Amino acid sequence: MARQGSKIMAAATTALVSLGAATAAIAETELVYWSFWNEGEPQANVIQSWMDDYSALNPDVSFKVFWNGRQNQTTVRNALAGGTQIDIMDADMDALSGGLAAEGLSVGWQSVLEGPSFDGGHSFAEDFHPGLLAQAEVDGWTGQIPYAFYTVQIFYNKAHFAEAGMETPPETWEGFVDVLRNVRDNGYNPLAVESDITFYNVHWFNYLIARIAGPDFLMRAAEDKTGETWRDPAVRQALDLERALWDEGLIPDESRGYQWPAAQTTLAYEESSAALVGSWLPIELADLVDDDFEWGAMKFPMVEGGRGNIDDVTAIGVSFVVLDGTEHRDAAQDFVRFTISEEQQKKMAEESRIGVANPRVSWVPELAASEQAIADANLILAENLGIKVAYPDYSSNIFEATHNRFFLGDMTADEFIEEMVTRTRQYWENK
Amino acid sequence: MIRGRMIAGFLTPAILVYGFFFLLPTLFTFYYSLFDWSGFGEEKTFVGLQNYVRLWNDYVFWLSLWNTVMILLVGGVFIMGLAFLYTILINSGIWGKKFFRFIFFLPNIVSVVALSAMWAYIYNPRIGLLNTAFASVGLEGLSKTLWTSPDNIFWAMLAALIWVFTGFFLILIMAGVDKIPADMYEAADLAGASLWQKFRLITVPMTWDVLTISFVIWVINAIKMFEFPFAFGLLQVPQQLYTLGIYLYVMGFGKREPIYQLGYATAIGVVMLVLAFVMIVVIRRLMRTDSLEF
Amino acid sequence: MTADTKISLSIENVEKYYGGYRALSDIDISVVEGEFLVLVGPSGCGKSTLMRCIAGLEKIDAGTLRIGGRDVTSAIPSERGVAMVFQSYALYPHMTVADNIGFPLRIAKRPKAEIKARVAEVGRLLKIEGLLSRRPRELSGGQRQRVAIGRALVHQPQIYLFDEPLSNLDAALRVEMRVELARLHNATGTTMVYVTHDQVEAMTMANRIVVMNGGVIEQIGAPLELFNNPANRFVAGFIGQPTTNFVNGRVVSADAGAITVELPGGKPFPVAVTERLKGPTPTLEVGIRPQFFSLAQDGAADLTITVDVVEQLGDETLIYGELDGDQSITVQVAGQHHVARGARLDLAVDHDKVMLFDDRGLNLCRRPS
Ligand SMILES: Nc1ncnc2c1ncn2[C@@H]1O[C@H](COP(=O)(O)OP(=O)(O)OP(=O)(O)O)[C@@H](O)[C@H]1O
Ligand SMILES: [Mg+2]
Repeated sequence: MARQGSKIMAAATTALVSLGAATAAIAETELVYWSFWNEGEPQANVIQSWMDDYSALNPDVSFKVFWNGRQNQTTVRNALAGGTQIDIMDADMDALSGGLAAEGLSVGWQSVLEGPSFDGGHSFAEDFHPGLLAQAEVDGWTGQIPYAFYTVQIFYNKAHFAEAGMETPPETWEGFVDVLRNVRDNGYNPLAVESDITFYNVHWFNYLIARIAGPDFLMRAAEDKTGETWRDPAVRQALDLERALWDEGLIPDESRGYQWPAAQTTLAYEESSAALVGSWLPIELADLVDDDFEWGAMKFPMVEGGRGNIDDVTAIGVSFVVLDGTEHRDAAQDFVRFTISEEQQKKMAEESRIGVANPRVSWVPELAASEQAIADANLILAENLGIKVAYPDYSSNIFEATHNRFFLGDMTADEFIEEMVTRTRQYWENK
Repeated sequence: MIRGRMIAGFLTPAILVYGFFFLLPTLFTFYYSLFDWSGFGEEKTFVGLQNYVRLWNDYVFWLSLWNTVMILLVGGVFIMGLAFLYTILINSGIWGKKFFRFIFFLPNIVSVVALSAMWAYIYNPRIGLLNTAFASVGLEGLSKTLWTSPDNIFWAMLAALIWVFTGFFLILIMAGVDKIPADMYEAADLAGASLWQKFRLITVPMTWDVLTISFVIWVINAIKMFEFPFAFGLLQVPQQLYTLGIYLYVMGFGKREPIYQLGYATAIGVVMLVLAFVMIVVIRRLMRTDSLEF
Repeated sequence: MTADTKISLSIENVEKYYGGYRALSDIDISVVEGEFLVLVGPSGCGKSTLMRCIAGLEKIDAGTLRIGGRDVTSAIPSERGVAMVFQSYALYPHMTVADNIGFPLRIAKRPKAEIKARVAEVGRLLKIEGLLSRRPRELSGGQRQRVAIGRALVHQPQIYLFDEPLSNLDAALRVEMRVELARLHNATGTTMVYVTHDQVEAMTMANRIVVMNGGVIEQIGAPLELFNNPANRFVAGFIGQPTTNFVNGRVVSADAGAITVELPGGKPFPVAVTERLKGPTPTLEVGIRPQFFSLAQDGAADLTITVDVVEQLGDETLIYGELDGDQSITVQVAGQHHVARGARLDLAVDHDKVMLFDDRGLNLCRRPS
């Protein structure tokens, strides 16, 4: 209701402004925004209200929006090649780091980040969870501004885990597996796994290898042109722990045939109990679960003797980019600064039920554990521990695809290691 | 002399149009495939045939090519076979005509996304149509099959794809078969021809032109196969389903991944083009015959 | 039928429906071995349907079919021992003439050498030896016709079925093929059932003619029998060209053996009848073939017409005119006659050839020929 009110307000203002423009010839700035969201999505609605509110405050600024959806960066690329003028766009943080930002097509934010925040009283940089800004950086240069994000954690059915005797989330892998065994013995499938979504399944390996060998191991393995790093015992250990989940029936065998969203549906219907997935899941399943369904989320546990930190958490962000071809750099950057203000971020957090960049804004209750994880985090991990940005073709075509074959039992741990050694070497030879 | 000039005069517009819409883009495609190019902006690095060398050494490329060829051959045999079988059944006037027609024409009126969602339901290991059906007739073993597990998913997709495409070729072939006068078959009946003899000696030769065109259309479709396997992957296309078209897309247009290698993707496109061209020439050679007259 | 005439084809009480539409009803024909039977009748009367039923291309809904004494009612076409020549020829465009002719043998999986020999033999018989390697589209209509017949011949069937085989040919070729077919019939001595629209074909080729109408048989008989002694008004009108004139005549008196009728504008004359009239009948339909008029001498007119059109054919003259009261009359007289349009013409009628039809259309004057 409130939003609608503000929309009408904004519409009225816009009408007045355009009237004014006609008569008094106010210099009009039109910001062209190509969106990662589809029209009608909650996020799109919030962004629309951001634009409306911003125009209300700055009558000389108006917006022209294209709701392109998830392929936005590719669409923008093709449009830019055709000479189209675009001021602002948004996309997956990692995709931008490997795409527009890496290509130097976005403006830098250093000076703006050092300047004041929209709300005042502190710098713009202090409007962010520190780890998040670090993740937005590539080689010390910030080309994007994250405004919302998801965490990747173990999301679980609180009732099932309570029934299994869990009081506080286990901090060790052993403790975690023990709980899962209890869940299994209570007649549930402990873990839900989609067979076809490699970028879900690979989180198991990513977290395990990060906990065992540290968050930089995967990058080292990818960058080792001989491929030999893959023979590190840590890899073997991570693989064995994954394999054991299947062998012990903690992941049901038929998951090998689950196509998204088959597995997460079993979570909603309380046939299974947990999944390692992004914080979008509780929202995605909101319409399917019973009213008394309670979500929990736990940090990915530590592996004994490991070199990682239990507080390191993977996050998947969404960022704005101001394109360096813009003729309205100041206005565009000012608008982005505005969207990170407390009032605006609150709208995003509440209406689209997503984690937001501004640490002063609290998240919806379903995401309380996510919020806590981010607050506790020393380090925010990028998807596939950074290799997705640095070597996207390696990350997707070789690492994720091969991992999925191992994960689903198409190859043994030894075969996986051999395959990764060979394919990594070939990748570099072929580069 | 004048005649020659006149012919040239008449042909010029066609040649220009053809050159503009076909040859030129083809040449450009080949040209771009010689570059390392992200597609962001105009900046490209000339790498000669390096992209093709990379393709040669690229496991995923060969996997995609293999999948494409399987779709082309296995899919082709089943699609044409089913289309013919159905046509023959119709001509021999069996029951269930309307049912079959509905089944085969459905994919032509439903969106690809809806179709793949439907198949996802059919193949679902627990609540899926297929396994529930097997269980209900007591085939416990079969009812445990994981149709979309990594080792089965390609064939599961291909089965669905065959169904999706059969309707279209059915229309083509049926139109061809309908053109055959009924008395051709009656004369054969009087001679005591079996169904198979009628098929081999009458139906096939008398639909040869339609068959040639169907094969060519199928080859083109199969080589640029993208939509259905892509949609079959719903959220993410597993590598087991990659076709050349999907791989081209993945490499050139970065779905979730920031892979932006337009030059490399273009090289895949060139391979597809050459493959289609060669296949079509081969088909036309193999199937060449005097055109028939009724 | 006497015991020593062998029945080649026996059609007994056959009925055929297309959905609710009765295409054939109560068809009863016995064809003697070696007979040339011709089916005639207006378009849509069921001739092709009957042929197709005999061949087994259509199932019959009632009745029995026997070929050579064998019940073939539910036999498949190839088991019936019939060969059919289609009006369209139904030649395979993708096969050579030799392959077309040899097709039935190929289907029967006969040895290649035998097929070759049989095809050559048939080719010689039909005088198409030189065309064996051509395709149908490289042939003239008459040549295609021969190929179609050749394909039937190679079968060596018990019965040939021809459905309007000559209708696609020009007049000259038709005459030629007609003669050849007759010769073929004589040579093979095989039973033939033949559908035609052509009166001349029917009259000249047939041993017997079957006249069909609306799915029923109107009459079966030798050509002249049908001409001279039609069973009813339909046959009288259908057989003979130009077609029979039908005129309303007033019944002056009706005795056991004769009925005296009076035509408009003429004087009464008696006609010998074989049937009795049932009940009082003021008028009867009088059938007079155009050939049975003559130009009347003074005062002896049986009827008078107003001349409309005159056609001079050289050896004969066709005169089209009208009786008082708008009934049209066609007159065919030998020689050349010049009559002005609009002139009144007195005509005499050969009383012995006049036919009378009762209100059901039955011929009252069946004269033994
Ligand atoms: N397959 C069919 N389905 C329904 N009605 C049919 C079919 N075949 C023929 N008929 C009908 O049966 C009747 C007899 O048809 P048929 O072809 O036997 O006539 P015909 O005597 O051969 O005519 P023509 O001299 O024009 O060849 C016609 O009224 C026709 O419309
Ligand atoms: Mg007919």
